[in-house]
Amino acid sequence: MSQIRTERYKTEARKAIKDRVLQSALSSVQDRLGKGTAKAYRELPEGPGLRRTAHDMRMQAVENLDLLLETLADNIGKNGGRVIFADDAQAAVTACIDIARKHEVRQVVKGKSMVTEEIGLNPALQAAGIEVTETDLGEYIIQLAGESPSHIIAPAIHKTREQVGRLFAEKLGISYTDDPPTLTRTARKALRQKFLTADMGISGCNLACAETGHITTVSNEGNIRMATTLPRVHVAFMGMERVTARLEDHDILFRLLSRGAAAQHLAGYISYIGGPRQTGQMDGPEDFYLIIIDNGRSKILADTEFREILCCIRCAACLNVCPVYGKIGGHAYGFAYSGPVGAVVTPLLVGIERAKDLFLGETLCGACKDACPVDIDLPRMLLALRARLTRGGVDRPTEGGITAEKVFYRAWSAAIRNRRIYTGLMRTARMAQRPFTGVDGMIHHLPFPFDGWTRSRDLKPLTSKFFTERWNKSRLVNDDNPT
Amino acid sequence: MTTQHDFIGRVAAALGNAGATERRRATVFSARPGRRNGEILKRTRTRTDVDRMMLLKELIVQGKPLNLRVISKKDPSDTAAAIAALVEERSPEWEGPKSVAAWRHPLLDSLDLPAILARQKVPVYLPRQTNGTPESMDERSRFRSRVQTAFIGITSADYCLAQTATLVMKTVPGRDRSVSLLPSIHVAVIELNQIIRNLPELYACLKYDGKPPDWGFSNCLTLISGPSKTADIELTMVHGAHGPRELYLYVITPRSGPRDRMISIQ
Repeated sequence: MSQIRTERYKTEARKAIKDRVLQSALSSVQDRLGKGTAKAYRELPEGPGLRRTAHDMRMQAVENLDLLLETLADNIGKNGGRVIFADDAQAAVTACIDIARKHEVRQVVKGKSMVTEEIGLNPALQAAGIEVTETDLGEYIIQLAGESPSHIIAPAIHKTREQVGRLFAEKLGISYTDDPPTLTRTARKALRQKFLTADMGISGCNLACAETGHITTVSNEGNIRMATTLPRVHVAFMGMERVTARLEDHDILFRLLSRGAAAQHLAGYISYIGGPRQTGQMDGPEDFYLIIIDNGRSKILADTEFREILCCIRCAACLNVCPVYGKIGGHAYGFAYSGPVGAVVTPLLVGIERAKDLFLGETLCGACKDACPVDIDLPRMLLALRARLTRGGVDRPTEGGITAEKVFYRAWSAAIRNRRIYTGLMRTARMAQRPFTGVDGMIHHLPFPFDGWTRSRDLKPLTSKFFTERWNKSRLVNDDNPT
Repeated sequence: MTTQHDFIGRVAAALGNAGATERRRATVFSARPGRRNGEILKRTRTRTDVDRMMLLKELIVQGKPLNLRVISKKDPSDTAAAIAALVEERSPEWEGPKSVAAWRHPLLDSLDLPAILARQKVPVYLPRQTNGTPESMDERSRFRSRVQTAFIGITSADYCLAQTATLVMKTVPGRDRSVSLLPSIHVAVIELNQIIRNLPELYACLKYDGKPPDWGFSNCLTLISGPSKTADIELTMVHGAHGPRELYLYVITPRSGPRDRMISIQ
């Protein structure tokens, strides 16, 4: 498994908020992609309701996953490909290294794949003495910089053109420029050499098709086509849920994926790959392997409360509208998946306790649900994770959560159900708040144990006249003056 | 290492799906064309040239924002002349003299490109006719180096989708994938009757025109909507990230009837 840094959420978030370059990059992404996607949904011939149809289609696939995987594996076998099943990250990585050794692979070119980030494939291949080059331009930039992706589809979005210019000048030996077309051409030239000499290409899989026995890869750059056409060996990685039953399911799903990801009608390149080159074909790999990964997904599948998250097609639309992602960026989420989807998937994969800040940090505003191309109810699952953290559940037999908070809420729950105690408490609070209310009429600091509430925001003081008091008074007035 | 049986067994257990396999299979995979697919197939099979001209118009409109240049031509020789002009006008992105790689395809054969481009002394590389004899390693590396040095790659396509401006190519001998990928400029030539409306039509055609389990695209099928592009540096759109920087699509449209009709529509 790749490095998990979810415990550093608060520290990293604080750092990100102070980073002015990042803040402007994030607002530009959200302003363009977020709004573009909403418009693209409105312009769908079938209307935004198509997202619901897609949801039902994905849910049916997830609920028949055993059949779909069996059919997919059989059909890929018929097409000449080989399928490997991996229980966890370690098994998947080992399988890939074994394939590389068997075929005497020294150089690998890679298309962008989040599941390979999840399993920590690159460091493992490098440790085995294999050179790995990321070929998606964004991924290439962050690989040169020694960083990790901060966005599912635009991984280098936290970098400015000046930063990329300095990076390329230093690492690729070109003279400094901050012109995106020139920088792109530089990467094009450098990576073309890698594509032409690599022994193995690695890709992810957007949506496999069970009935025909194909994986699909989607890109705009054409890098995945290069990586899966030119080298001798092609290894594809797929999270086990990324499969559909029928070919025609891809119509709705690809149109929505392209809109969710980049507000496009259809991505530039979509390839269906089912096996190696056949006799008479002059190009294409000699061997094709598909590694299907569980790595905690069957546990999510068994948990009906969270099964729905397996409908996700990783388009990143929820990142582009999330007010929290828009401030803290992708790195704070501390794992391959960021934004609202990361806040649900990561805790389910790495542990609820370990990644609790991710879902506690989201606002429950619901923007992610409206942006999701397959209409996943992310806010419901964020809440369910909070409940699971406090009450325990299927995989949490013991109760977790913070004891002091629990005691407080139990007392609060008792108090608000008793009119006299409640009114008494409110009156006391109204008196007690006076010394803390500033000249601007706001409370800036509360004393312990309530100081957490004012650490990052001001509070409005309780009103000088409660609603019930005003109500009683107005009723008296009305009774006096019947109209 | 885990086996397929154990892995899928665990998935089934997680779902609580013990049994009912055949019933579920029938629901999940539709065996025959459903009513919707049937209607789609009928529509594609009964389409007239006038309908297709409307689709061509849509293709031109949809291609524009994608930088896909769609050009209608009256016959193969007219198309060949346009391609010759393009070869003349453009210069190679990488070092070396001008050369072109093309598919071995009946429609392209009718363009007679090797003879026409010979006038400019630009060689056209075509993969050899295999005739069932397996290709050697030598042959394949020669193919690679020819396609790699070609600055223009010329292909046809199996279908072209008007609504998304998408070329669809099955991978079969003589129609190799790198011809539409490695050269800096990709030129595609199709006939009017290869244009269909959208993805549902494509999937219906692929599924029911080919014969399962072959589907007509056993190891690779490629969908291309416009030239290669990226927006990874500050969301600035740049064409030519890894694949072709430019994409031209010539549509051979018979002169009589529909072509004049479209001119009057315009």
